[in-house]
Amino acid sequence: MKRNRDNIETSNFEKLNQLKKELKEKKRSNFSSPSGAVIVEELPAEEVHKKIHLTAREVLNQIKNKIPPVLSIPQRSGDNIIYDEESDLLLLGGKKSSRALLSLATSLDVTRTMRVLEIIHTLVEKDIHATKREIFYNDVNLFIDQVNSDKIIDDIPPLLNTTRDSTHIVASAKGMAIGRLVIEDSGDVIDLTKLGSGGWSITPFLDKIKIVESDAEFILVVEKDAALIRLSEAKWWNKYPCIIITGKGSADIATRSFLRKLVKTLKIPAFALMDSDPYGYYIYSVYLRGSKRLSYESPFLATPELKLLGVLSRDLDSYKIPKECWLKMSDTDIKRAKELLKEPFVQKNKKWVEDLKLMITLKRKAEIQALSSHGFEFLTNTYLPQKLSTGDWI
Amino acid sequence: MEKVKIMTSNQEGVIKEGSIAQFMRKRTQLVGFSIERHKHTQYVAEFLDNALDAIETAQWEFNVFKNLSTEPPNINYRVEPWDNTLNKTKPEAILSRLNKILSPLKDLINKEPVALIILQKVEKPEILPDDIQGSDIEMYCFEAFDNGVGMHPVDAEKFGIYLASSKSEKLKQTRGSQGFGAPSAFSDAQNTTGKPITVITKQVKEKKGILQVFYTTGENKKKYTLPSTQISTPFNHGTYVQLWYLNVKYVKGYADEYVKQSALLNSHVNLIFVDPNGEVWLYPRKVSKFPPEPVYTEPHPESTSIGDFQEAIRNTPMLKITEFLTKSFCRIGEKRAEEIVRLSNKSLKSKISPSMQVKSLTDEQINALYKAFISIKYPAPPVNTVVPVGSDVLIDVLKKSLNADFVEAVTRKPTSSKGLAFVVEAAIAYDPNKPELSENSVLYRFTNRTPKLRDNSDCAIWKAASSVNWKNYKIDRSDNGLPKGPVKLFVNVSGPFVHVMFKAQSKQALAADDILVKEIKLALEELGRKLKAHITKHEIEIRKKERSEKLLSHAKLFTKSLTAIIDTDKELTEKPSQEELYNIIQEMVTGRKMSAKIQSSFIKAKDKVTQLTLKSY
Repeated sequence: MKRNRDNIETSNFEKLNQLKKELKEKKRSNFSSPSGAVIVEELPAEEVHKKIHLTAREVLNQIKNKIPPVLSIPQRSGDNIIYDEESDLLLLGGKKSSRALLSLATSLDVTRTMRVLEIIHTLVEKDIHATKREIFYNDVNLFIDQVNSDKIIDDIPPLLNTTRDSTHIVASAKGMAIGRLVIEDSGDVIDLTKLGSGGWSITPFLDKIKIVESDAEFILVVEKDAALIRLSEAKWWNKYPCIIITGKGSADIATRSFLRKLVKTLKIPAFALMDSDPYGYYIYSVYLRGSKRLSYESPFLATPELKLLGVLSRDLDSYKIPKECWLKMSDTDIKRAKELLKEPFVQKNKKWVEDLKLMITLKRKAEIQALSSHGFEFLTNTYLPQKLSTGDWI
Repeated sequence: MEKVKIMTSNQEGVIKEGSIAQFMRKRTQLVGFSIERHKHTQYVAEFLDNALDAIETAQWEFNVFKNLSTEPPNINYRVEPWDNTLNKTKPEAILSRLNKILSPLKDLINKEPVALIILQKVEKPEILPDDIQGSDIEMYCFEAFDNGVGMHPVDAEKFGIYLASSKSEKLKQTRGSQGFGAPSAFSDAQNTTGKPITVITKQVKEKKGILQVFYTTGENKKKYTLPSTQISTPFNHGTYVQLWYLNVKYVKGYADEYVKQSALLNSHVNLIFVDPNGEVWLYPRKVSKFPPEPVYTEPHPESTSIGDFQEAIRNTPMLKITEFLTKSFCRIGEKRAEEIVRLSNKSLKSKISPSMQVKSLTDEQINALYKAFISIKYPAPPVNTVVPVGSDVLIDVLKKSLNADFVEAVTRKPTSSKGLAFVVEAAIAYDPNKPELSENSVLYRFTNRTPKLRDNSDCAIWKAASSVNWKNYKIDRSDNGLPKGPVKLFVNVSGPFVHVMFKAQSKQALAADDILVKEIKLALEELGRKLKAHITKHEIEIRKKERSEKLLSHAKLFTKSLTAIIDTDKELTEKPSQEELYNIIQEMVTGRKMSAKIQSSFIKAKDKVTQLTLKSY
């Protein structure tokens, strides 16, 4: 990688360096799941294949012994999500629901579950991947709506105690990455500084990606495409050596997984730049802790090291964002903010609590683009450098 | 008395004594004989009802139909029209006609109860009476035959005379009662065509039958064009009537409907009706037993008016008051009779005694006696005077005639109102797979087994049926309150009661007596509950079936996926086929319920055995 740095040295960003140091020193503690939680692990195809066979054998024995067939599936409802303080992650609890073939309420669900198992079985056997959409089209008559097959697809990994990736079903990835990073994707070496203004589309087949090298000092996760375009146009990573990622709104599995992989491998700090509203904060929280829907996979998707850089509610005052750029919070916004406040992982972070409370009190929000009220280059030249150099993050 | 005699014999008064015959001859419409399509039905009804009464009498009194087979007889009927060239009043012509219409029935005529009615259009006269004009007026020949009891020659002389009825004096559960039907029919026939009436009859016990052709007159007498002549009849017993009348064109759906409905509740008789289009409506009997004969009973005090009472006193052959009271009415014994006398003396200056002669009572004393007579509480009248069709027969007949999935019938306990006993029975037929049940009327009304086609909503039966909340019984309700959908209701009110309860002489609608309406409602509600249970059971069955169908369709896919996975399992030695697995599950779905049922009945049986053994110890 050819270094083409501008004259800005991030080396005198004290706080950033400190954070970097902490990360490097932090020993990778072995993740141990709390008792009762569903433990999942990444498994090679043949292991998944075996596990499906074990499940099938169990059902086969039930039928042979004239017991009405039942599959016990870990519940993914809200009351079965637990926050594990030690690992600082959202995890799936031990509650299970029975899907009986001979009950009208569950017979269709269990039939669909068995069908998805059959499809996954074929995928891992042939070592190929399929998207959720493809699974749906595999048996439209049975699934009727993709919502139904998607639901089952999310049920299977905890049933087999493995990750979604291991089931060879990939979510279509919409995330982008650009900046000081060289990767190898299916044998092709790609330099993420040499992609013009577009950036690299994060692939769902992350097991095929190898990180070759990077001299980035930090990673910047931006909520939306617009911010990435702004930074990419300025070739901002040349001035401030970094990798920029966006999930284009709420992040999909591949984007989150990619972020996690970068942080774990490169051991550099990561910062999030979101809209100054509850939804932006929520998106940040999903990068940070994982979503509730896929809580069992949190250990493989979440990046607890991610810091919230902006746009903080207090920034609207400290950076004198004009009132015309403020937006009034809707009832849904306030509700969402209050829900966030209740989350244990939010409560653990006092600064975050303060900022959320400020947001709720002032009932105002703003988009990242509001910073442009001070000129298009305010974000790249003033806001971000200032925030990073002063360590003004949460 | 003397005075009256002088007045009628010696002086010409202004007030002329009219006769019932003169009155009725001009007012045949009062009993349903006006020029309209219903008149055809009226003829059919009058003579069919008479035929059924005659057949029942023959059976009850002489047991003429012995060993009726349980299988209905095989009847084929075809008849040729009258030969227009024949001189129809000649005895030979009439007899040859009778032989012709009976020849298809010759094997049955002395074995099976048969009522036959033939109605045909004949060439109309060139000149019509002034009061009957219109292009659609036609002449009809009406013939009715039954192999019932037949008439004794003496009775035959009176047949056709107003109020000469074998039934009107006694209150008995019969179809007709008044002696208005046949005479009115004869009057109408003569009034419209000027043609005489022909009657051939042979009573069971008589050696020979008689043939007569006659007119009835305003003096309520018969004027013979052919006086009663002894003849040999082609039947052992029965009656044949032939007459001609003018009316509007016959339309299907009325007279035939009357016969059809009559057949439903008189399934012990074979009914044949040939309509003017030559269509034969054949209803072979469906049961082999006749209903029992209703018992005659004396009037009950509660049903006796002051007029009835005075009339009874005038006509009684009894001498003493107590004798008169105990013999003329039911539910009055010695003690009650004496109490009535004692009570009447309370308001009388010239006292009466129980042994006093009835004929010597003054008007004042009669009135006092009546007041006392009705002031006492009596037990209800005996109920053996009423004979219902019976729910078993109703169910059997309706099942055979309508072929509906659900048929139920209810016969209430006999009860009484106003001193007259009656019994209500009702039947229901329901089948959602038979759309024809949704057509035509919902409610079929009968009194003493006789269909009532007119004055529907004016009748107590209608009122009771429309006051039932059918929605409670899982069936839709029309705006008129009757049930809606693939359902038919039948209500029959039997007993001497009904004769008193008719709203008019045409006997089409029953007055809404409270007890009567309540009884009908209770009967219909009971049917409603049975229907609801049936519908619910049906719904559960459908749900069960849907459930197992759904589960099995899932099981098919489930086992298909399962076997697809298992097939690649190298460590598994025994790999059952999809079919094997599906069969096991199918057994679980369809067999499990059954085994549970068997199990519970087994436990019940076991419990019974234990109980029995315990008892015997």
